[in-house]
Amino acid sequence: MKKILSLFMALVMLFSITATAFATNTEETYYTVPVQYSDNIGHHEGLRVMVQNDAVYVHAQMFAERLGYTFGETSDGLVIYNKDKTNGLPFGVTQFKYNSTQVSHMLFNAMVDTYEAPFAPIKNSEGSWIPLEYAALLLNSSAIIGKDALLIDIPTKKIIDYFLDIARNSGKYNFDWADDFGYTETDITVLGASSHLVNIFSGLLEFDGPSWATLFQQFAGSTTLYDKKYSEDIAILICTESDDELEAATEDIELMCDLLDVDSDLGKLLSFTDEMLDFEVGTLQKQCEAALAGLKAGNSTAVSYNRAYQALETAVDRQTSFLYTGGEFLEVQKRMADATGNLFSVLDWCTKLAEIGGYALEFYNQDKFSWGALQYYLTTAGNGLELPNAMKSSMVSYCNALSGTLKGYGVKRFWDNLDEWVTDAVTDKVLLHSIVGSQAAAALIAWNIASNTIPFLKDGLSGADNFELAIYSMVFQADTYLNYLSERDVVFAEDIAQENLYHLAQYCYLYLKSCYITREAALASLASKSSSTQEKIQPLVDYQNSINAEIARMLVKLKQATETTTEKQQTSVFGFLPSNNKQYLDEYDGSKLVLWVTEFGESTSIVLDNLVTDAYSEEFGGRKFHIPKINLDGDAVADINTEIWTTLYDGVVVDILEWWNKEHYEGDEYITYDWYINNTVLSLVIESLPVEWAWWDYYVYNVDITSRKEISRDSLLTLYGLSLDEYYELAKQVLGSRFWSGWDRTNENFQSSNFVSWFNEALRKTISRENIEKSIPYINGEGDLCILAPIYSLAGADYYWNNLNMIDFILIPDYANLVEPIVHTINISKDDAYRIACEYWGYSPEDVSGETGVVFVVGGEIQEVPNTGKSYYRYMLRCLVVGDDDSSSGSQMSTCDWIFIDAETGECVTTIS
Amino acid sequence: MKRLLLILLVFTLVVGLVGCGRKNTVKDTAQVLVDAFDTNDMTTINKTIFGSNEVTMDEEVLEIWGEPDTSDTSQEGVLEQIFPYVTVKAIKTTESSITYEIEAPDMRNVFDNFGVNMTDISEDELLQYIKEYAKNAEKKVVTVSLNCTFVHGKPIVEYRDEAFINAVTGGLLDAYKALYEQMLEEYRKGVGEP
Repeated sequence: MKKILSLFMALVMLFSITATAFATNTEETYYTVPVQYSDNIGHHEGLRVMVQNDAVYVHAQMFAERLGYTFGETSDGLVIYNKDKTNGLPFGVTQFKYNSTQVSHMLFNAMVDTYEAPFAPIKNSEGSWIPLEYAALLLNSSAIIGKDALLIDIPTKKIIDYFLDIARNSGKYNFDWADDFGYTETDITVLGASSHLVNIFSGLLEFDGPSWATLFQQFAGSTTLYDKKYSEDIAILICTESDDELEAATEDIELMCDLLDVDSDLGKLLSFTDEMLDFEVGTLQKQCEAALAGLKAGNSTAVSYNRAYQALETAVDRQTSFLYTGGEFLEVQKRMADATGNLFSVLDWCTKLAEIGGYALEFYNQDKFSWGALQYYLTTAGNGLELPNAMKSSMVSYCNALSGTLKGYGVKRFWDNLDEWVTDAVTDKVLLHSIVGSQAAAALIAWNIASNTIPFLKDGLSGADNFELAIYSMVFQADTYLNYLSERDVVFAEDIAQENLYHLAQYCYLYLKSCYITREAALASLASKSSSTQEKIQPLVDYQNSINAEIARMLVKLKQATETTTEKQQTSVFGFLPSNNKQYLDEYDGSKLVLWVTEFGESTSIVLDNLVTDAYSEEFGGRKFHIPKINLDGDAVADINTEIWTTLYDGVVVDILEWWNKEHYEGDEYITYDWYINNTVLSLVIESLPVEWAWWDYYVYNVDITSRKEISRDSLLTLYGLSLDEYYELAKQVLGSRFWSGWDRTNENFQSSNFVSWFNEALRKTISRENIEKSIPYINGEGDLCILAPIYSLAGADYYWNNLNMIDFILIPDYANLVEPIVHTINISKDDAYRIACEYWGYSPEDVSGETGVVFVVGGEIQEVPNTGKSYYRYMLRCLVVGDDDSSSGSQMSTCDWIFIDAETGECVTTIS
Repeated sequence: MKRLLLILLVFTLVVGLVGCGRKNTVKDTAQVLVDAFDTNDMTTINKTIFGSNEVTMDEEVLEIWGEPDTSDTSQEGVLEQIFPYVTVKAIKTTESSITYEIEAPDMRNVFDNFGVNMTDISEDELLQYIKEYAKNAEKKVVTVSLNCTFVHGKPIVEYRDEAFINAVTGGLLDAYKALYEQMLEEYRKGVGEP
């Protein structure tokens, strides 16, 4: 016990070490604090914060944009929003008013004005500042204090966000034969012509309201001849885990494990004690509890809104774990302890517990939530449930029967197999999810209709069965959709309470799972099609599968809705509701965050205004010479400053001073620079014209101002979400477009095959991967990714460096297409042409003009005719006109005639155009 | 004894008033749909039948997002072409039911005139065709009774009843079902499959 107490005290002391005398501070103080974002585990980024009146504010624009939102200003405040459906963030709008604690926040489709911040946002000369911790919660994120960085979650969608997603994608998740299997030329081989008319008609019905189309679809699939077998199959499939759900759950658990990775700040915090004290399960459990208590003690009250903290809390909470695991939790812990038998850290233990707890929770939710949802749905039949009686009654009776069969089905299967998995995971030192993801499906924890693995259905379903199942399921899908919509409108119009949201989540789960089942069954029914048809429809199948994978991610989240957990835990499931806001304010205590910022912020505080200054500055002969230095400490920055000085002072200025006397300087050289700050990235761009160079030169340095280290090209690209290949492609477009600027393909120079050859060679070199490798990216003052890159020249130097914006540029679509050279076919040699010319004039070398004397045939130059591809030899018939005095000085050559000989055909013509 | 009689009388009156109140509520509820069909008010018809409407984003949200309000679409739907010719009357209301008399153009054979080559028809052509068909179709009258229950004091009418939907659409639902079955049959057989 003493050991546990001492561990707890050690953790508390670790956090309290900074708790020196803290006086109320009414002056604003600015800091840049290190942050580890959940999408950049193991790395620190800087975040600008301000402390005033014992409150921590964050720079609103910097914070919002780093999380992926858009920042905007209004007449009396600021707004942070997202309307992009592709970035994975929730749709949302949050409005803060300066000097007011009232906040407006979008819930579902409307703004709710009853939110209240713990302190009012401020606008000053440094920017707009909002409460850090509170803003994080509103934006579906969270901020907790780590060992030497703030740990901030990148926002994820909550259940309320999925309600809106479904509303804005109503046609996407529903499965409909005509709509989803289409009537394209390819699909017509699967479906008949009637599908076209059905599809057109359904589309028109949508304009009357999407519910009409669903209702018609529901009645269309209804029949009085119901086979209860399919109702039972649907009930089983609803209540059990599909393989996509398992995969989505695994992804969630992987993310959670990443947060607890030994290189993450949370991991470091939990692993500061190297080894567990012993392997007695009770003691191990207590050590984890002590670690968690230490984490909580060192944090503000908002720590319990954090999803990683919640995962750990759930994992080490025996009561909850017992609930999820049917009482086997201690047994599994014992197996884990036996399997390890050697060094084991608190972190290892906590992570394994959290991981196992994560899976247990998923299977527990599957068993309990899904069955509960189905039963609740069927028993609320009085409120507009239109399932055909035969279908409804068979589902109700089978649902009751399932309560015995399914009770703990998933959890039991999990525990039956876990022993082996845990042993493998621990002895092989791999994470459990790398094993469970593949093996759980094989162990029939997850079903897949196409592969015929379905719980309780030994022989699976035939193709015809799947078709019928899809029809039945479609009826259920339509019914759940209409009822979900009614329920949703009531909840959001009348009472957005957690209990109501829970029931709405149940309805939503049933609707989405029925979409999933219908689509799976319909896809499985395609198995009987011929191989050529299957090949044709593969893109369609892939697209439908991708919709189901998206649905599965929502199902996993919906299943996490419970009625019994705390409001804080519900926050990570539903979102930050007005009721959560009230509780947050009641418990608010920001003092620990202020203490942490003032401690860590002081050591990382940076005066941004003077981050780069002149190390050397002089002007002579009207030319400027400014050599910069970066005013940050650290070895890496010192090396950069030395490099700049050596290159530019020793390499340029000293050279100039050797050539010129300052007073009489008449050269063209110069050195200038610009620098930009974007979040924590400093980009320094230096431009120089060295002595006797015909072109200017660039030097670029990108530095992370918090780590004081140079940022690699790849890391810089990551900030823009660009992979290296994407960067190469974009750079190619930028360079190619710049190369072409000022040219068009009708330029007369392209008539010359020589010119075309030079042009194409320069273009080829400019957009080559080798050239892009030489290029250097940086971020300009507008936050745009830019590039300094060589562009090859048609004349003069080999290439010139260009400073190009990679975001804001005019794309020339066919930039990569070389100029097609005009082919001038030459079949006739010069000798042959000469003979033809002689024949034309009937000339032989002995010919002497009767009137004037000697006659010559001269010429033979090739002349290209623009736009024709034709080349001609030009010959002249000339004669020597002898002077009167018989002296050679009086003689002269006179042209008697000329012709052009087609170099391709040998034809003689007198003019060319 | 008198006291007992008095209590019984008061009880009867209270029950009667509650019953009367419920009946009036049902009558008012029935009238909402009647009025909606009279004025061809699709929003109210949808809200009454489905309890929900298309989600429209708050204007304030759209303003911030810089997106136009798409809720006011000018695109016409199919039912909008038929409902102007539909008359709905609530001929009887009780606490637990509403009986409607519905006169609507007979749309049961609307798809019969299409030949096998239907892949060419466009949305506009189909809409125009249905519009003309509804305008010229013979009217038929159908009487439908719907159940009504009270949940938390509010009347819930089961409008999503197949007979009722068929009646207000003039049998269009049956026509659609037949077409849908034809489509599924084609699928079962596998058009183009060896």
